[in-house]
Amino acid sequence: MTIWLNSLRLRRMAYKVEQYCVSNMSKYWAAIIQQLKRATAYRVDFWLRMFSSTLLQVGIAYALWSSIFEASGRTTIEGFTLSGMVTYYILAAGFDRIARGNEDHELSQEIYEGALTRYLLFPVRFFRYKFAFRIADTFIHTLQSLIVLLPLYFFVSASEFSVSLSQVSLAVLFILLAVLNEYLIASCLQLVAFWADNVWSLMVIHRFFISFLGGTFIPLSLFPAWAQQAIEYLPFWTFVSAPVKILMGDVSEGLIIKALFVSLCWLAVNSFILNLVWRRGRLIYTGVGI
Amino acid sequence: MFRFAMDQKPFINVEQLSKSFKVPTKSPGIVGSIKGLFAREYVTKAAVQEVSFKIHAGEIVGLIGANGAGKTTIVKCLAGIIKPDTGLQEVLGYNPWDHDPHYLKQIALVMGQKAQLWWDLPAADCFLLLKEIYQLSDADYKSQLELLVESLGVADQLRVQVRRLSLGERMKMELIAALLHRPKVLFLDEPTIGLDLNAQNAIRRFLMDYKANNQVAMILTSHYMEDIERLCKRILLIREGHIIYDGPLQDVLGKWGFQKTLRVQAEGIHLWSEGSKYGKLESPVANEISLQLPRQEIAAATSEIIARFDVKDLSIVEQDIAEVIATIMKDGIAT
Repeated sequence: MTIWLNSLRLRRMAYKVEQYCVSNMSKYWAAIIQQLKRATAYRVDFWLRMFSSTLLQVGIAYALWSSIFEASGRTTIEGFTLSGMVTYYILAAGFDRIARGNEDHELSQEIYEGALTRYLLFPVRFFRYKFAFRIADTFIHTLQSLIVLLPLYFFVSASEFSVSLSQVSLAVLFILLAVLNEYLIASCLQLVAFWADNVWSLMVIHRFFISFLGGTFIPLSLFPAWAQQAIEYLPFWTFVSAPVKILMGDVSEGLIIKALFVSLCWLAVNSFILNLVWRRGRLIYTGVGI
Repeated sequence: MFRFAMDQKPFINVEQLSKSFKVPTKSPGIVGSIKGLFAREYVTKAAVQEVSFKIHAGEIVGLIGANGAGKTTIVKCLAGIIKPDTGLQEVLGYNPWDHDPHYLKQIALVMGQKAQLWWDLPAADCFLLLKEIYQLSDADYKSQLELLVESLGVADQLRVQVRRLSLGERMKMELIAALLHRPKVLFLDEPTIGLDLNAQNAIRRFLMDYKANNQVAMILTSHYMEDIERLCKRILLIREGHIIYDGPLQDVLGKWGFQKTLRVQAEGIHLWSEGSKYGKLESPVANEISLQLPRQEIAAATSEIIARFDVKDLSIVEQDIAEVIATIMKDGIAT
């Protein structure tokens, strides 16, 4: 009898938790749908971004490295063949696009212009709500990257590099952590708008850090050893370099564990900093413009 | 849910509320710009100073004051957007700064100068999102939306991108967005600013009907006296962060409307220069005068005019409320 009552209580509790989650998650799900609508509201921008942000990167990298290989007369540079290098840049372009997000600096603009006010009036958790927008953007960027880069990958690299399901799963895990980490870092930087008149330069530096220290511009294995060691303490290499190496089969188990550890540690640090900056910033927010 | 019974406590209770802002300043010229690169100067502006008032269900209270008087700061404090420095503020029993979701589901803020809807989307999509944010049931959402859309006459504009709507249409959509979740307290910050006369009248009519059918408490800030006169029975006059008057709008005239205007049509009255002993005398056309004089002189002036002239028409006109308030805001209230 006691066991039956306890299981009934547990089932009732589970039902209440489920109802709470459903009713609370629906507002974030609606935010995802809304952001998907916004992302597809401007057709020219949608198609331009799809091709320009990834193909241009790969095209420039191919032109550069084929010249380097030709001029040096070498068939490999730091373990990369030309097709391997192109494969690297195809994958890096995709992961970079997904990790970076929209880069529209919407949060800092909302603080400047007072548009943050509307979110303060909603009965939602602000950063969860904004992250719902980010999830929608990530979905769009992933789709755009796959449409553009997957055919390129199969054309250039599939014969040389085979990918297993476990590699793909690991890479997906890292990109999810990258999206979360990047969201937290970008949000922290944009919250500086509570104090500074302009955060544009901060966002440029942030963009540079992801691309340069993440391995989008050049593979990190071409950096000096001391630089590679230093970079491994930062989160950026887990955004691009780590998932690319996983898919190319060029990473040890130890490095995967290290990357995971670094990513999770930075997740905790970034969450803490974001919460602190937000609390301080809210005290001085004046809602200018209204 | 309320933390107290509706008919017992005020919806809005403010006691000794104060708020100051530190505003950065810059000296003019290139030297000032270079100095600003190294050190910033600030001035502290006291926006609201020890303000106290209560508002009950069913009241629309007008906040009137010059630009920078502190009206919007009070609204922002009560909506939980900014934190007051000192004082007590309670709305529906909640401290707005706590941002309790139950509190946020019962208030709404409409800002005439700042769009809150998402510009890239049609209003209908924005409303759907708000439905989820406020966790409205399908039935509630549908019935309230239909009622509001019909009242404001915007059914044809629901599928148009918000940024493509005219200012008046956009304002109506903002009102719908604010009222979808049936708030108990509504903050209206210059809701008719920039609108044409028809749109202004439509919004006023709508707000009057809405207030009549729902026991909401509203705070309205506006520079248009017609908004205040048509919607508000009670006003708070704010000057340099202080409330200098809290009471019925009509009493403003009784207390500070010291002047009346006497208009008389009579044969030869335009030649009556002695009328200037009562007040400001003007004679725009022959056989007609306009005499602006203190209230207490009306009886004496009227008696003398009737005794001396064969009066064809006589009217006594109250001073314009807007003029009285403008004078109070400029000069303050003499104690």
